[in-house]
Amino acid sequence: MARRVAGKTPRASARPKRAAARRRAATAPVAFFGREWAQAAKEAVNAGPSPEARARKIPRFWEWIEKAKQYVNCQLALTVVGLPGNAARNCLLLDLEAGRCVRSRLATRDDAEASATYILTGSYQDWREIMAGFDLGKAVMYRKLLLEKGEVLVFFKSIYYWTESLACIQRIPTRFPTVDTTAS
Amino acid sequence: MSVQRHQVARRLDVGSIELDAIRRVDIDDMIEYVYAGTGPNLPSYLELYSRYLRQRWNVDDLDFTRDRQDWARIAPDAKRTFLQIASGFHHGERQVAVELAPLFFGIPEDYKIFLSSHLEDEARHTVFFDRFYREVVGIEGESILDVLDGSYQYISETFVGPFGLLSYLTDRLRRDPYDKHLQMQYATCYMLWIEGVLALSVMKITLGYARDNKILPGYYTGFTATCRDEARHVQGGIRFIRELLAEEPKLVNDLFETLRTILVMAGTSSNYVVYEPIGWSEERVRQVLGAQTRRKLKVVGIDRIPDDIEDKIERMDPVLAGG
Repeated sequence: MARRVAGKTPRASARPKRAAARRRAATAPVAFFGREWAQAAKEAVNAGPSPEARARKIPRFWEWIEKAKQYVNCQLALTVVGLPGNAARNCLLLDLEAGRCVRSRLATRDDAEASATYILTGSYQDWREIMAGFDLGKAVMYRKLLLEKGEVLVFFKSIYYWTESLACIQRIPTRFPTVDTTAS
Repeated sequence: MSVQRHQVARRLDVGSIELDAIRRVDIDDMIEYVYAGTGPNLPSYLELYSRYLRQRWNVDDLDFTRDRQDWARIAPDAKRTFLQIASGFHHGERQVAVELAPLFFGIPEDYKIFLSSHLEDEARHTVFFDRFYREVVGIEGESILDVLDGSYQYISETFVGPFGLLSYLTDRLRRDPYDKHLQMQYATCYMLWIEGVLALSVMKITLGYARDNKILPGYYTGFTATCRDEARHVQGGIRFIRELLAEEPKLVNDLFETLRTILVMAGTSSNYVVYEPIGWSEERVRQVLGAQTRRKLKVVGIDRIPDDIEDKIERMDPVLAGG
């Protein structure tokens, strides 16, 4: 027992290394709309708000979101217009069951049109501002994110779930592709 | 306000009073003025436009010198509550100004004439709040948006509920301006809820505070004049909703569905507003909003409110804003 507490067993000594690796992985920026970013988005939605974010709002706001989750059984597509590089796969599909993300993957716009319940679209520049911390409420009201597919009235019955989930995605350390402005 | 002064105010002709005398109008009388023309014979769109020409006021005529002195003396807790409520209008007026244009395409010709005045009103209201926040609260900025960014910290996260809904409905209406279902959803969100219920209820709070404490005369004047403008918009909106229902009674389902969404969103808030420093309570605010909701539904011709909507009205905790 004493040896385990001291962290001398091979198994125990490996734990801090793995934890450190996870921390590195969690903080190392991942490419915007890359496969790792899609996975990080799923994890971020499921992790929910940070304790600091949670503390900034009153309990009944979070209770409302918990209640709204039961009605969130759908596929949300987040799409980017003008994504540099591999522009064909410019949609992130998030499969949601009772507000929990069970699957995330990148897809083409055609795929998203065919399967998504909701499509939220923003320009590459607007997404960059959002990922830099632009307020999600403003992103909706100033139409930096547009609901291009889906029932508006149903979507808004869970609106605070959506904005808080996007705020979780906003926390992903993100690396953006360099745009070659000299290309014609 | 003393009983005697209140009675004098009631004798004022709210509809024709000039800006320099509007300070003498009690906000409750102004809110009642909204209902003066909501019987079976609503004013026509062109009558509302004529009324606009008579009632139009110049935002540059307001003097905030006294307001600035009063503001410096207001206690910090009252100041915070005041800003939490007034900022909902600062942003709300901007939102309703920028969301109006797509409605123009698919509405009756006479309504288009009146709507042009409605749009000008909303721009003026946005400038009114811009001036108040610059000259009284002391927020600096090179543009309207800079000052809005400065007051954004005071509004609730749930502001995105009704105003985000309006923004997305506007975008749908932009794509299909002749769709009657969308027109009804839009009018329910904009004219019935944001202007008819939220604005005309929440206005009472800061205006009542200013009136009872005999402070902020520039704010009281401009915001009371704003309330009179809103009365025209709400009357125009009620006429439009009535016409849609007369044309297609099934559109009442769009009205109810929109209201259900709004009331679901109104089932929470993200922060506490302590009303007591400015003489209100949460329960009183809820009662005023509930009464305004029922009254607005009645004037658009809804005789019986579905039970589930009635239940949501009882429990709502809506965002304190308006436009």
